[in-house]
Amino acid sequence: MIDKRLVKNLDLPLLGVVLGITAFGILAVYSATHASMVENGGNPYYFATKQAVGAAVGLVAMAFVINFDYRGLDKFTPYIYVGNLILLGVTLVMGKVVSGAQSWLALGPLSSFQPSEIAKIAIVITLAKHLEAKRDLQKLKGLASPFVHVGVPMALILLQPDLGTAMVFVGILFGMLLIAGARPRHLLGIIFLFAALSPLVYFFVLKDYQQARIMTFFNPYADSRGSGYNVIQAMIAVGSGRFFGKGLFSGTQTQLNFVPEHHTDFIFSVVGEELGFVGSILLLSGYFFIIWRGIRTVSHARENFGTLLATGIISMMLFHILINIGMNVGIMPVTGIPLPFMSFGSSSLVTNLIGIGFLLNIYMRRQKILF
Amino acid sequence: MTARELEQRLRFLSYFVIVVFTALFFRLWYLQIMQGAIFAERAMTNSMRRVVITAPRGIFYDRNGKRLVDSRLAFTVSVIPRELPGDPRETYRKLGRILGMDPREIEMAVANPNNMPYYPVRLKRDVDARTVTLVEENRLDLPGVIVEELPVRDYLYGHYAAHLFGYLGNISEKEYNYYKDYGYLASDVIGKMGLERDYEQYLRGVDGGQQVEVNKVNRPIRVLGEVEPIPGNNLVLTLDSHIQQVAEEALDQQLTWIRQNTGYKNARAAAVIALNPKTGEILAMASRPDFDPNRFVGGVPAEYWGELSKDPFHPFTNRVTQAALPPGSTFKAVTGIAALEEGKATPSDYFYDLNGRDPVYPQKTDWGLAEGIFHGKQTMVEGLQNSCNIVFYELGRRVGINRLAYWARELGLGQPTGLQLSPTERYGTVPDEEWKRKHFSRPDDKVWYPIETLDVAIGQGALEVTPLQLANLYAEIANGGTAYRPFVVKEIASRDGRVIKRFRPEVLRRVRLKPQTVATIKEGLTKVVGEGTAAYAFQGFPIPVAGKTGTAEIARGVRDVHAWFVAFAPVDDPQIVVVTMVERGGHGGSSAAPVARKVMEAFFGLDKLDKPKEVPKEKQVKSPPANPPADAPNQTQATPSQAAPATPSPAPTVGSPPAPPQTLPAVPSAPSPGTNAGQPSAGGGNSSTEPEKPAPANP
Repeated sequence: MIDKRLVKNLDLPLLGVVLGITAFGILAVYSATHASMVENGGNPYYFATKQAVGAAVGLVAMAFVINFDYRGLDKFTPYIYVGNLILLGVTLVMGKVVSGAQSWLALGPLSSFQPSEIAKIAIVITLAKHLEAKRDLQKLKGLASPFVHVGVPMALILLQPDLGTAMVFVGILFGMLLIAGARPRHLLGIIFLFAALSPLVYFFVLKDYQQARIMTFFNPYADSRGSGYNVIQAMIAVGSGRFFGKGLFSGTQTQLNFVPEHHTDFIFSVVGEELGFVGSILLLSGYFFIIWRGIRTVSHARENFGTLLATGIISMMLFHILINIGMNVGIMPVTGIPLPFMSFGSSSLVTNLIGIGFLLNIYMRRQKILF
Repeated sequence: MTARELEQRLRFLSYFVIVVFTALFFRLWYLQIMQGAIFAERAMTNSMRRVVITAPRGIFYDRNGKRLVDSRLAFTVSVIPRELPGDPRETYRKLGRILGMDPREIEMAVANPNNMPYYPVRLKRDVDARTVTLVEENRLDLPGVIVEELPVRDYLYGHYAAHLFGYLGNISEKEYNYYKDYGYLASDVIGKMGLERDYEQYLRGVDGGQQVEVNKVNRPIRVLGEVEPIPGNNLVLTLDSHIQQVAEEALDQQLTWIRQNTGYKNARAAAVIALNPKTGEILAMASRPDFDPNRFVGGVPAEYWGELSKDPFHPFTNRVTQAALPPGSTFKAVTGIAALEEGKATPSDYFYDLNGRDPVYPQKTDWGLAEGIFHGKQTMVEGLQNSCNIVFYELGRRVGINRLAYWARELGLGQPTGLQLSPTERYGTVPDEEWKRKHFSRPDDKVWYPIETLDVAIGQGALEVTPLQLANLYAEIANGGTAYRPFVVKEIASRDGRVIKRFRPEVLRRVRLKPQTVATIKEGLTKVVGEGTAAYAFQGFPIPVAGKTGTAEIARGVRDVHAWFVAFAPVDDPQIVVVTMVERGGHGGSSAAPVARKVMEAFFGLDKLDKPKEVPKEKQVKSPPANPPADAPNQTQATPSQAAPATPSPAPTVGSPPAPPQTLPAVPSAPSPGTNAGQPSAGGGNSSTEPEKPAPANP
């Protein structure tokens, strides 16, 4: 069992905020779904219950992660990396297609999960291990192997196709490279290069619906009933919440189902509409707190592996928060990535709780234990 | 890496984090605080629908407060354009099958650029319960399709007075542009004819609305607010529903009878009008053929429309105001008035019909010629009674065409009567020298030939009169020279009874007729009904009636003739004028007068005293043997000439077959001297019951 002396080093405020946001998420999911469930003769608690179960599973997984020393992982990284590729490969072959992307794998008859969610943690762990040993990151060619390391699983995810999740990998990669010692100007150069190439990608790689999403980002009103509908409705929901919000369970946009996917990708619109600016900023502060504690963990980690591991996790979360809230308020393109601890979906919730588990783990073991 | 390096890089990361969160913070500030009110408004309109509550249209009442036209609630299938799927063709196809409509028709209705995206486009009104069930059952396959309950018109008396009431139809582009500021929808219905059209702005009312909160699939969740519709204003008409009903029934029966029992197989068009000569109030008006406006309330069914529009007799023509036909002998009263007023004749002047021919133009004959009846020495009164052409040829000649035309116009012909009813009434034609000059181009045709005056004098030639004009003309005679503007709407009143507009009798003109003129003409007209050409039809009628038959030729060589009859009663104190016209219906006395009699019976309440249909059988047995079994109500209208075609003798009809009318057994059928009170006797050696014949055609 875990050393009792370690427990006193547990970052309880971080854990508390995470649990708070998770509970808040269950409430938001309930608010988003109960009315339409009742209308269709279903159980109003259906989604909230599923989310609570997901949270319970995630907390167990988190406890498990906290329980052992993260440093023991480095021996397993090759297996994790290969296992992850196999899982993604299997998903491509026998995965279940949900809203256009083959990203679900059945887990018994009752449930299924998204391997691409778990893949984020897998990539963070293996990339941390990979970068820990690298000494040539200062040079441009030293960046090649990390790109390949992330590029292979990312390609498998792009094949699903799940652009949003693949983009998260880019966020993780850049965040970890920055902390690992790559030159910022190299990283910026690569970003500009990709930006320059993006028209080619846009016209030759992206599918129609992905192109539409990008165009919608620039002008959602061009097709306000089609691809721009989500963004416009979400912005109306958030904006109409004004300062104090319309009150929990009282948002017209939410309760009357005007915002599609408002229990998953657009869960933030529920908070924005029903709890207003106050609720939104409170939630934003919660996320800021998590990221801040994450950065603190990074700086306090005992060795580079922990530093990089924590960096990968906060990069992942930061990217999710930025993209997801950004698209809810119309400053980011619509990409189907969930809001950590809030969006309905067990795979994402479990993944993020595992991520928090690692942060707690690293922070807890930040110093040599003095006997 | 060193702790210093790490710290530097972490600072870099931290800046990035701060930028991200600051950006999100300000974006939220912008959306929720700065733009919050705008988005709140948009969220409101998002979830709010305005549901139109159509105002019930104004009710038509008759003069006694009986409802004639009302509205009832009916199911209507509509489409809300905004709620249709991106490609609605499948929806149109399915809906078309349920409604029995062409999908392209639906597409066109929805595509009307005047439609508003959130407001329903009404596709089919008054659908049956089966259709409603089908639409509801297929709700999931029919996104954007709704069933509304809307008021539709209900013409309680079916096709009766259809031309007067008019009908409703889908608003046209032109009408929409005219009416859109009054709150009309592009798929609304609007009055297309008659009173429905003329009083549209009064009848329509103001639509109400409901603010309903709806969810994304437009299903109403709750009502937030409601504005009650303001019902349209009601029309109180001058019409008497009972007289109207009798007129309609009599007209139908008469047309059937004519086609079955006479040689006039084309008798399908007819008109009847009854009005109060002292006010101009129209008591009844009917026209044939007609249409059933109830069949238009759900949108015009194509096959019915086709049937109506192909009918060579034009069912939409209101013959009361739009049939301008030669008035035949009914015009002789005008010729008589002109002669008396111009001093060209006196009541005691004698005229001679010795051989049935005009002494100057022997080709101009009297109807009696063909049957060997010569009227001999006659006064003007007797001339009217016998409808003797020879008398009026002479009078016409004395007056001259221009003065005759002058008097015709003084009595309201050749000009509108002023009845406000669409479609606009026809003016008819009063020909004279100037008219010929204006209307013909060949020099030969521009000249007025004296022989033409003779045609006009007996109501033929180019003379054309509408039934309404004739009614008003006789009303003017009945009044001794005062003409009123005919009207049919007495009052416009709001639903709660407040009078918005009241229409009063309006004197159009007062012609100074000599009392002697009026007395002479009235005497002649009274004898027409008492002993003359209409005596048979009015046999036994207890109230003194003055009238005139007319049998107008259509054109040379056309065997069919138009039947006219005009009458007013009681002679001394005229309360009602009735005109009956049957196109191609034969003789005025036999084909037109019986309808007028029934209308008068209804007006004087005589039909209620004696209703043979309701008499129990055992009582019928006790009725006089002369009374026919109630097999053919029209048989009383048979004239001797039809019952016994070759009879030239002026045989009295009393007791002779066919039997006299079934009305008022107590009154002797032969006119008693008392009925013509105050009138000098005409020294009756003349035949009294002969129907007139049309004047032979011009050379």
